[in-house]
Amino acid sequence: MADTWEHKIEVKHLNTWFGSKHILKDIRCYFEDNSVTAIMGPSGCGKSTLLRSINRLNDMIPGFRMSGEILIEGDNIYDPKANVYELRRRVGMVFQRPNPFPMSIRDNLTFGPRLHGVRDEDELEKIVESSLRKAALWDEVKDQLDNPATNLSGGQQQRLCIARALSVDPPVLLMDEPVSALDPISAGKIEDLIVQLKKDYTIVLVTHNVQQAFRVSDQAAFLYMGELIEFDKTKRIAVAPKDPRTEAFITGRIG
Amino acid sequence: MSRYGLDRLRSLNEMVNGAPQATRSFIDRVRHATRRDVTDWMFKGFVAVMLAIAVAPFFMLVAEVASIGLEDLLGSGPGQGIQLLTTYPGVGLQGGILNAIIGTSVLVPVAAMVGIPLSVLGAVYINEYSPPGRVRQIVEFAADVLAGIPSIVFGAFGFTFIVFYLNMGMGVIAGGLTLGFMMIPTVLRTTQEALKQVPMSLREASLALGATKWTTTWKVTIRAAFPGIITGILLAVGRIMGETAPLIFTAGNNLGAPTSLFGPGSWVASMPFTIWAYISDPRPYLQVRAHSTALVLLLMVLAVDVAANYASRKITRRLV
Amino acid sequence: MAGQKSDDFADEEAEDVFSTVVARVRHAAWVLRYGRGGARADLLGKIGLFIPALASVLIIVLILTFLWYESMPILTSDVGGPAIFLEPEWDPNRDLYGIGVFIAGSLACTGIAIGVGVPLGIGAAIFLSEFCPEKLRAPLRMIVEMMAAVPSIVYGLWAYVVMVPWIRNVFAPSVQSNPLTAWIPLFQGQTNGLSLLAGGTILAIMLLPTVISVSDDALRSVPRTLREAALALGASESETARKVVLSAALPGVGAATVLSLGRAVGETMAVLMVTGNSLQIPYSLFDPCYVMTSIITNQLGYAYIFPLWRSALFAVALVLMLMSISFTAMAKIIMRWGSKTRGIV
Repeated sequence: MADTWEHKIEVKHLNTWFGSKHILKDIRCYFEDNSVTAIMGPSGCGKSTLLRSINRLNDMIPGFRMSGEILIEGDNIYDPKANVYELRRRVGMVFQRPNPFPMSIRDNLTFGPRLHGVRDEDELEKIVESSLRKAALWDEVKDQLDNPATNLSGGQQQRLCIARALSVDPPVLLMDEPVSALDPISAGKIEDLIVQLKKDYTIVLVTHNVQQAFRVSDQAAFLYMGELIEFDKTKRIAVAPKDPRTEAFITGRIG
Repeated sequence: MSRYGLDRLRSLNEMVNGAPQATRSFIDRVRHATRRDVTDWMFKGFVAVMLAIAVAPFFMLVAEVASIGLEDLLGSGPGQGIQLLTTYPGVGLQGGILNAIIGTSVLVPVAAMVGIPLSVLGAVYINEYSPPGRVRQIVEFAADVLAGIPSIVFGAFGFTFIVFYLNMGMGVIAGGLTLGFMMIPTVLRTTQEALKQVPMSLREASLALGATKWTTTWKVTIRAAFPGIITGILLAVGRIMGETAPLIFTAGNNLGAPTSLFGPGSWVASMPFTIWAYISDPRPYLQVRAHSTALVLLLMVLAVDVAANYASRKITRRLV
Repeated sequence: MAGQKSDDFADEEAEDVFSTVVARVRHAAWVLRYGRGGARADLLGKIGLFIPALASVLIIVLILTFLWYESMPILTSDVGGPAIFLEPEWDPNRDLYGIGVFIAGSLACTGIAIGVGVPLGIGAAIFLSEFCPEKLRAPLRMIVEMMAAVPSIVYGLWAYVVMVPWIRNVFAPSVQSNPLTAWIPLFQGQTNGLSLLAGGTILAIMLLPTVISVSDDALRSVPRTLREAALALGASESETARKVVLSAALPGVGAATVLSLGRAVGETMAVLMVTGNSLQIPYSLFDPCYVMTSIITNQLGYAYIFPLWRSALFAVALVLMLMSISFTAMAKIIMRWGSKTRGIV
């Protein structure tokens, strides 16, 4: 157990394999609290794999192997004694395509808290309201909490998924291309939401959209073919990328 | 920083229940098998056991039928060994089951000649020509209902309608027709599904080249759906090969091969009927014979099933 | 005229059925006369295919009509009338045609089959779809398919030769001599093995492959991303399976259950061989019973020449037919309800 830690999340010498394919190669980076860090790169470069390593969702895939460490608040999450369920409660995830459970809006939001032991009905109601408010969805759905979540529009569903991730109060929020399946207006709303949320959370955002990374993030990591090419404050990368591959990516020559 | 919700609740719980030292870590590091882990394992074990229980009877059945049936197939007494398959029962039913094998081999083609054209052509009409709407829904519903009708109702119907009303008498025709009617729902539904799977773009490509709908349907759509159609037909054949109830009333029985299409000479035995007749008979060698007949029937049905799978896979590879 | 467009005739929104039909016939005649080769072939093909399609509808209508017609005598006669559905006494020799005993027998047998077979099948399907190691899946599915292919008479054979003696010699004695279970009313009665228990159990075994494969398909069709969302919230695999996947697949599973109900009621040979065929309403698992399909199979041959007797048996067949129609309809309603409340099927 570590009492002091320098960065909220630290990735140390992370290598991952699916079967014999070496996906991530010696990744070293960190993610700060109260900020948005973007992981960007072309399709297939390993961004999602890196993200999913942070909440150990890759464990579900047969043939997954890793070496190295990922420390959150100084504790290695891949420690054999780690409680994966607790980890996943504290690290929330929003997926590329909105995936609300085929239940009512309310049930979607109480699913997580119930799982982790919250039984009191009043407490659950408060969690429902606060999660929806944090996701800027409360006003739109407060009268239809018992309706199926699948009745909502795409943008609303994704905000519901954000609310659901927030319902268990995770200090860390992972977002895997959260707006790539949405129309531009909904995407814009959610980007604003992300900038709002970073005040209270550690957000890691995967995106293949360079402009989005520049708009929204404070730090950026550029991944290419499984290697971390460059990692620095976004403003600096945007203006003066050090590596020619980074520059090629942000100017759109490789996508 | 005060956070609303679970972190506060959790520390409250820990204060009440006592907490191991290291739980302040992010990952709750001291790992005892938590209650949720135990529930997880128990549930997985439970459903695994359920699967085991579900498949056990099948193995018990195969073991029973095979062990007693093989006694007949490998024996050397009357009607045993290869004679089981090549001789008629004869006096005292001591001979083989050739009558049943011939019977089933005759009934199935008759049924197929009735059932396949009606259902395949019908499915083609429903899927390719009929306007989506009430007509299609009614026909689909009718096919589904037909699929659920008990075989004995088909038997009663065949008995009353075909044997008596139409005055065709028992025999190959009555039995074959009844079985053919039973094939219709299965083949119709599977053909329709196979046709649905063919992507619209294939039909559109053909029409765009100037082909008529008729040509498109036959040369393009059906050819693409062919493996699915064949699979459906084979599955339906497998099913009717094992049907007993309808034949009890429509096929009669015959200790030899049928000699005519109508009248008493058209009466025909069948594998399932023979099993039924023999198991109901007190003579012990017939009890054994019922098992060997069942074994042969099982092998025939499983062969058809394997052929269905093989056909669907092999033809797909060739066409695609 | 040759150049005349056919749009005038193609109006599908005619006010009544009659003018629609008239319009269609005129259109067809026009095509036959003036259509280019392709159009004519298409129309002929369409007509040619329409007839076989109609056949399946006709066959059902035919069967239903026939059953109705044949049941009429008993349902309208003084001796029987519609009350026979509830009358428990069946004795054609004394002009008693109560088919209630058969309905009760079928319900009891089917009830046991569903009560045992459906939960077992769903549990097995959950294992297959959520927890089964990849390498085992294909062989297990193949076994389930083979189970479905076994003919009913063969299941009956095994039940008669193995299960019935086992109930007689092992199960009944042990359950009736054990003080913990001997008092249970379901376990009372002497038996030679031919019993409700035997019928219900073999039915359950025969239902399993259908329940398992349809439920497995329904569970697998739940998108993976839903499972990931639950896992990402900290759920364990079994919690995900129970609370998310199963609930999402519920319409498909429910439809499978209702369909198996229909098949259980209609199952003939296996049940015929092991239920004892005794004219009494079963009150214990060890009591013999008489199901609807068995009475028809056993007596139609003799009853044929006796109009009322034959008619009563057809009334039983009519009940079977109506039950299977309702189960099919219910399954469809469940599927439709499912896609409404869940958005996915």
